[in-house]
Amino acid sequence: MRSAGRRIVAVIDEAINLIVLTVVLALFLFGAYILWDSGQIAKEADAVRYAQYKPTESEHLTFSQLCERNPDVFGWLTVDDTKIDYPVVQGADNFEYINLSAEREFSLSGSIFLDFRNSREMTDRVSIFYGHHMERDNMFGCFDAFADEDFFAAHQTGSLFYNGQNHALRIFAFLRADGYDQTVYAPETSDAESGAYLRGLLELAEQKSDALPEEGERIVLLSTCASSETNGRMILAAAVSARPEPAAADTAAQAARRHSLWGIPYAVWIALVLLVLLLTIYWRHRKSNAKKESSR
Amino acid sequence: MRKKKAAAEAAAVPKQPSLRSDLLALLIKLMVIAAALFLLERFVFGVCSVRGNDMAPSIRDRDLAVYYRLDHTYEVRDVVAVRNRDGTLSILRVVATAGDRVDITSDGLRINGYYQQEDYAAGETLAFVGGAVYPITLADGEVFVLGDNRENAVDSRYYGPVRTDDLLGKIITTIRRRDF
Repeated sequence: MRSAGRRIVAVIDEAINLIVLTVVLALFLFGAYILWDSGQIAKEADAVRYAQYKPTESEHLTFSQLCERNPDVFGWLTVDDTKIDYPVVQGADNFEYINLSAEREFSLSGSIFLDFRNSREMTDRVSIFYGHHMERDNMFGCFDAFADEDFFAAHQTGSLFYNGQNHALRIFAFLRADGYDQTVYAPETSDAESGAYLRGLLELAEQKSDALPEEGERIVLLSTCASSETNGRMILAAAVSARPEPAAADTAAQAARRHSLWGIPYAVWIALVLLVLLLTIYWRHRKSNAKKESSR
Repeated sequence: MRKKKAAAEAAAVPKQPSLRSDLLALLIKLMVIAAALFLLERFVFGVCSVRGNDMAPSIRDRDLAVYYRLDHTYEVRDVVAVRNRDGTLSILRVVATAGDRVDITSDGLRINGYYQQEDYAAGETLAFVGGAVYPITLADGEVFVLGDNRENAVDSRYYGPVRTDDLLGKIITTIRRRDF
């Protein structure tokens, strides 16, 4: 038999355990919420989410559906072997799509958007696309890697789909600039100024290839934030070929959908039918066996 | 812990522990918990009740702010806890870091030669008469901090750049329970 004093101490001890447990549990739940939250934001920005809309060889329909849903969508940007594979939009100003997805839903990750001063037909000398610098290489999150010479050398191709046709992109420089620098962010550069403009870009370049834009070739800048410097921006400069080229091959999502009925792949349908068939045979077999047994 | 104790009791002569030893165990437990909380608050996280509306509307008077003490890489847009000379705390936003050239004119805040578009700032950004003298080029280990509430905040415009040693940490969470 324990004394009254010891019992009181035991109760207090239990109470403290409970309090500590509650606090730890509350912090744990808050931590879980934070992880879930950042996971959601990353998911919203993931190129996989848009793969179903990509205009490809055999399918333009899904892309036109996206365009119908949001008339600001006018193209598709891909940089080969990176996660950059997104629909591109153009807003009324350069703020509209900062927190708006290509499906026109609020999203912290926003969209890849063309400067509002540029033409969607890509007729301008210099066209500028903006995108968020995100974790897990989403949107333009992989730009840091282009500072590396080997990575830059291995990732110089891409494509830009506009006007219903695919056009090759050739990345020729990686540079850093100030976000307010009007000499770089000059979407209204004229033909006459383009030579000086290109020289200015190359002066800032950290990496550059030998395949510089030729006379008459149009320049596309892909721009994202570099948070380590005040107003810092990282930019990929690319030349866009005027000649259209074949569209991209189907994405996995599209291939999967074409080989499916109501979103369920044919293989699963066949397996299901087989399973039902087997079960029926088995059941009938048992029934006839049971009949034989009883008749005996 | 309880299991261990039970095992020890079973091995030893079955003797009733005294009230005193129970109390001692409880006291030790309380002290360990208090020490853990203290160390966490002192070295990893800081918690403070915000005074003043320097950062309104983002952060208001009497919001509870939690800051993280271990990350000392400060970037523009970070909201930080600044230790003032009189020992009080201010919550302000970093607008420029080492190497940046800060200027405040009648047109507003200008960094590295460019006027800034700041979506978080409210009101006009003007210099304090008798405060910092512009332009200022920030030395290593210095940041320029401003309150979002530009017309009422007491910040670097008043006392100049702040040394990062005087920054206690970055704000990671705020909790508000009135004036939403």
